[in-house]
Order: sequence, then structure tokens, then C-alpha cells
Amino acid sequence: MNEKLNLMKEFTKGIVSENPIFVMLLGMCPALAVTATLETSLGMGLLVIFVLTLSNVLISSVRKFIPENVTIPAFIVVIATFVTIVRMLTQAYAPALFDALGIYIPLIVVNCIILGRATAFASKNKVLPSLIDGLGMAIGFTLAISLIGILREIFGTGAIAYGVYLPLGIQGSILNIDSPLFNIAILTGPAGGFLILAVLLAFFNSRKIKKAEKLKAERKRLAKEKRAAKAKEVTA
Amino acid sequence: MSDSQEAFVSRAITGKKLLYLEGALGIVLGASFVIFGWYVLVIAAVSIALSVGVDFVFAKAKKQKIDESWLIFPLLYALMLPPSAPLWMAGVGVVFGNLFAKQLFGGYGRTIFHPAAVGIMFLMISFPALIFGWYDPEVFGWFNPFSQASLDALAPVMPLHQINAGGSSAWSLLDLALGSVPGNIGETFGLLLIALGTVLAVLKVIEWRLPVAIIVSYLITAGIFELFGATGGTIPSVFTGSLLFGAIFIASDPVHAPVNHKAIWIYGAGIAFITFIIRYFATFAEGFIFAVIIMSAVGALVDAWLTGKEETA
Repeated sequence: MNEKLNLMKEFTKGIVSENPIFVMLLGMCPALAVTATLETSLGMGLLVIFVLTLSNVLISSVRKFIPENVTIPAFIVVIATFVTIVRMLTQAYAPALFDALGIYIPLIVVNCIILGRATAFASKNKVLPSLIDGLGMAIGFTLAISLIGILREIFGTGAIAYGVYLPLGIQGSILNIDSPLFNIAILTGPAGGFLILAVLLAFFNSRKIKKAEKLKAERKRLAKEKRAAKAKEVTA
Repeated sequence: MSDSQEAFVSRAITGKKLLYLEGALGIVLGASFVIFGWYVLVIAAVSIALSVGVDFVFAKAKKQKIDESWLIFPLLYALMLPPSAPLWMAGVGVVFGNLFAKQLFGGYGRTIFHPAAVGIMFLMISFPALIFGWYDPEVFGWFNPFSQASLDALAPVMPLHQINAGGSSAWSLLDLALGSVPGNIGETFGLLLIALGTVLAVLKVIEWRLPVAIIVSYLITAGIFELFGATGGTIPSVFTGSLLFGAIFIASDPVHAPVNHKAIWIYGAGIAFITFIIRYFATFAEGFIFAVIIMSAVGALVDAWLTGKEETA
């Protein structure tokens, strides 16, 4: 029961409390470069889910055989292998996504989230927790960049297109808002990535600060109540 | 507040000098009211109201008073908009400029880029057709700037575009100097701008070297290119676009401009050169705003570099 709870915690921490984009600020390069539309973000996220989960599993299972001195080169070899597989699969089955992501697919090799999880988690933990950790982190990353992608696409083009980059079989767009306010061209450009990321970071940080303050106040109140109760006991 | 923040000395224009500057901008707005009609006052009012709204929210959050630059920035901003600007666009730009360029950096005096320039730049990149477009008010009327017909009729026919295209403008030099030509609200009346700039320089509100450096450098750059046949009309092109207005009111802002005299000339030459390059070779018709923002980033470095060198020499 306890172990199950721990696994659940390993999974959710990547999505909420240790979100790679909004909390740890890792993997900023793809978060800024490929998030112009929802579909490219989602595509990038799927590739990262695949690579991060499998590399975490493999690294965790061979962690006892890797000599101390060559851990990083060994991790890079493992990650690069999975990225090569992913790259070839994307080129074969989703050529539009392959063209849209371009150089950022091979660059997943040096994505700091993947190497970071390999050194910080997979090389020290058993296979199952590593799998859960990798999956959670990658899903957190995907959700975060998808959020950036949605905002950039809605405010930049006024619609959410589907089937353009991902091979869904159907093509179209939803939410077609015909208003100049939803046609801010700067957001689809490189500067838009920075702007949206900054706004979202400010939002999440302010929520975090407020939560911490609330917790502090709550603790103070509890301590005070305890003290009051004690004093009452003494007087009684 | 930490000690380092307390020790910060702002170079912002304050007090009486700020009032002189606002008075000058008020005169420009009055002149543009005569030229373009009542709608420019609506644009200015909307810009000021929204900007003060942002100021108010931040002042309340920081538990401070609204600083005294609340009027100058939206006024400068509104004067750089086209007189056909839809109100929602004026609002978006002013909120963006005030929020991202002024408040997030800690208010006027601590900014790294001019908030008005940032607001206009946001609009230039986001809505280029509306910023550079022009429709004939005599055909569509000033009372209906939102109708689809008038938006469809937007066409790049300002004198700026005509000179950029290599030809001479359809308006004479006198028209350009007196301001009854298509152009942005505060930027067309060249003679008035020059007169106000002179008065402000005499009153020592602005440093006279800054606008002079920019305009002289622009004349030299454009003159050299004219020798090689790249353009016609060096003199008229000074009176088009944001060059005069920006040189006198935007680039001369002491917060973003260098102090050292040599650095001022480098700053001015940089602005003039980038403006010219963007005007004639890039897809944007006006490059002054971009030039000011690029050189604001470099200006302080040039200043530090030159003063550091002079001390050691």
C-alpha cells in the first residue's frame, strides 16, 4: 500500500510539484522553439515521453554495470540510441512533424530533462520507480509545452488546427475566432515563446508563493492554538 | 527594499522639466487635432486611460503612489499611432508597453527600453497592415474607423512608402513640413516638431546633442546612399515617418540614452544607420522604433566603454 502511494507520488511530482518546465526550468530550448502550435508541441512531447521513459528504464536496469568514470558517456549513448530510433520512426510515419521539428529531434539527445533524470534518478533507483518517474516527468513536460502551444496558437492565429503535423487521418481546425485580437502575429514568432512562457511562469510562481504563505499562516495558527491549550491546562 | 535599490539614482526627467515636456506634447496633440480631426483625441484618451489603469493596479499591488510619468508615456505612445488606428489596437499596445516594458522593470526611470517604443513595436510586428496602412478620411470619414470597408481600403500610400520605393513623394516638401499629409498622429508636422525641440533644448529639458546626432547622421547616411543612386529625396525623407518625432521625444529620453558626448554621437549614428537600413532594405516601412530599441540596449554599454577608456587614458 505504502509502496503504491510512493509510486503515485513519483508519478505526480513530475506533473505538478517538480514540473520540468514551470518549476525546474529545464528543457527551455524545445519549450521556446517548437511551441508555435499545439500540434508541434504535442508531437515533441510524445517523442520525449518515448525517449525519457525507455532511457530511464534501460539506464536503471544497467546502473550496476556502468563504471563510475563513464556514467555520462554511457547515458548519452543510451539516450542517443533511443533518439535515433524515434527520429527514424518520425521520418517514416509522420514526415510533416519531422519537417516541422527539424533539428530539434536530434537535439532531444542533449535535452537536460532526459540527462537530468538519468543522473538524478534512474542511476540510483530500481527499474519500476525509474519508469514511473520518467513517464511522469515526460507527461509533465508534454502538458507544459502543450499549454504554451495552445496559448500561442489561439492568440496568434485564432484557431487550433489538427491533423496538419500529426498523422491523424483527418484535417481541420476548431475554435475559429475571427477577431483581430486573436491574430497577434508576434506570438507565433520566436518572441511569442518567451512572452507566453514568462507570463505562465509568473502565474505559477505567484500561486506557489501564495500557497507557501497560506501554509505558513496555517502552521502559525496551529502553534498558537497549541500554546493556548497548554496555557489553559496549566491554569486549570 | 535593499540598499542597492535605494542607492539607485534615476536619470528620468522629473518635476518642472516633465511638465514642459508634457506641455510640448500637448501642443503636438492640439496641432494633430486640427490636422486629423477629433478621433486623435479619442485615441489619446483611450491610451492614457488604459495606461493609468495599469499604473494604478501596479501601484496598489506595490502599495506605492502612481509615479509622475503616468501621463508622458501614453501621450508619446498615442502620438506615434496612425490616426486611423482602431481603439482596441491602441489599447493592446499601451497595455503591453506599460506592463512589460515599464511596470515589470520597476517603473519609469528603471526601464531598459522606452515603454512607448516597446508598445509601438509590439503593434508593428503584430498588426503591420494597420500600423503602416492609410485610408483616405475624406472617402470613409473619421467617424467610422472600424468598418470593414475602411479596413479593407487600408493601403500603404504614406509619403514614407513612396520615398522608400525610390520615387519622390506626391506631396511637396512644404506639405511635409506643415503636416497635412498621411502619417502618424504626432509625426507629420515637421516644422512644429523642430520648433518645440529647439525650445526644449534651450530649456535644457532634453540634451540637444541627441536629436542633432540622429538627424545629422541620418542625413549623412541617406546622402551617401543617394550618391550611389539607392534613393531619391534625402531631405524629404527626414520629414517622413517617426524620425523627427522620435529623435526629439523618444531617443532623447535620458533613461535610455548615453551621457558621454562621444557615446551620444555613436548612439545617434547607430539609430540613423539602422533606421535607414530598415526603411530601404527591409519589409518594414519604418525602422526608427526598432533602431531606438536596439541602440538603447547598446547605448549604456558604449557609455561605459568610452568613459572607462577615458579614465585610464
